[in-house]
Amino acid sequence: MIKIMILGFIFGIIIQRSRVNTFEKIGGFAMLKDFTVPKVILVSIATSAILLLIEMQFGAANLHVKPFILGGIIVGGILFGIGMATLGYCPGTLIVSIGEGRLDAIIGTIFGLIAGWIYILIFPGIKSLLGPNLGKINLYSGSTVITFLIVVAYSAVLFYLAFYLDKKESQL
Amino acid sequence: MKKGKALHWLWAGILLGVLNVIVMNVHVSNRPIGASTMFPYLGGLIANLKTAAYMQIIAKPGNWELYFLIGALVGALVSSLAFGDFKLKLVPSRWSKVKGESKGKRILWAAIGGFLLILGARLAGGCTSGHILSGGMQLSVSSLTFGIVVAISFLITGKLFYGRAK
Repeated sequence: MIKIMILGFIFGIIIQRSRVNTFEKIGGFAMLKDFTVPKVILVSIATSAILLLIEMQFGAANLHVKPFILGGIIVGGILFGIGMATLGYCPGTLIVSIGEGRLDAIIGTIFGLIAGWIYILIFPGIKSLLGPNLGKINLYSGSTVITFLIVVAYSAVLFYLAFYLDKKESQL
Repeated sequence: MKKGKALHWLWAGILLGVLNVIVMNVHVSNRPIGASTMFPYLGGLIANLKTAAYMQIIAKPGNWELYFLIGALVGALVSSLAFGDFKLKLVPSRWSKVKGESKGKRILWAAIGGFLLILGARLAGGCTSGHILSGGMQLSVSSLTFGIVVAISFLITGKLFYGRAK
């Protein structure tokens, strides 16, 4: 319990210090005025994808891939995008922003809790409407060598995109 | 207190990536970072729905994310106080530049946005943390699809909702 809270504490500091929790950065991305949020996301994925693969070679980590439930991903993704653009926070940054004193983040959290509560109530009825479930698939290959090549290429593309966005941002 | 300089995006991305790999370690949490399951979990605890089918499914991840986000809230509180970012504020300045100073308008859209955000995250089974950062780390097809759908929906909404922002 303490261990999880310490991990969260570090997460909160990194997010808070990089300012990606703020409406200025998330709302700014929705307005195409600030690309800090996508840059941080791209670099984080690129870094962790390579490190995770190395960690797994030592047997120190397992994959935890979420199932590809097509209907839920698409409908959920559309609603999530609308919510994130108008609210200007996402679930994790909402809580980080409360820590910074942002009162609109408290409103967003209260209505997020209400949405969560309603989801529990409607879950038995909508469970079957979310499919089809295409399984827990990822882009790894059966061969470790090819998987390494895929991950390195993937990370290189994401790093490139981050620096590309940084260049575009400096021209705004 | 004088405002501290923000952490550079490149360092922030690298540190978040390293943290996620540490969390994933079998001796640490043996799961990736995630946030949105906390919302139905805490909502369900408050509404006393412990026995509901969905609450049973999310009990373990919900509990983990609740402690993780309590830590995140405290971390953000400590660092925002230390670096002079802490401020009780309802209407963000970037919002007021485009949408005006109206408190009611900001409350209304924060409420609608917060509701859609969590409803969407639960339908999709994850959010920016659990799907985009953590699923992206694992080259997960579901998460990469979610990331692309969210990016399109987010940017179209941004264009329609904020227009040509100054």
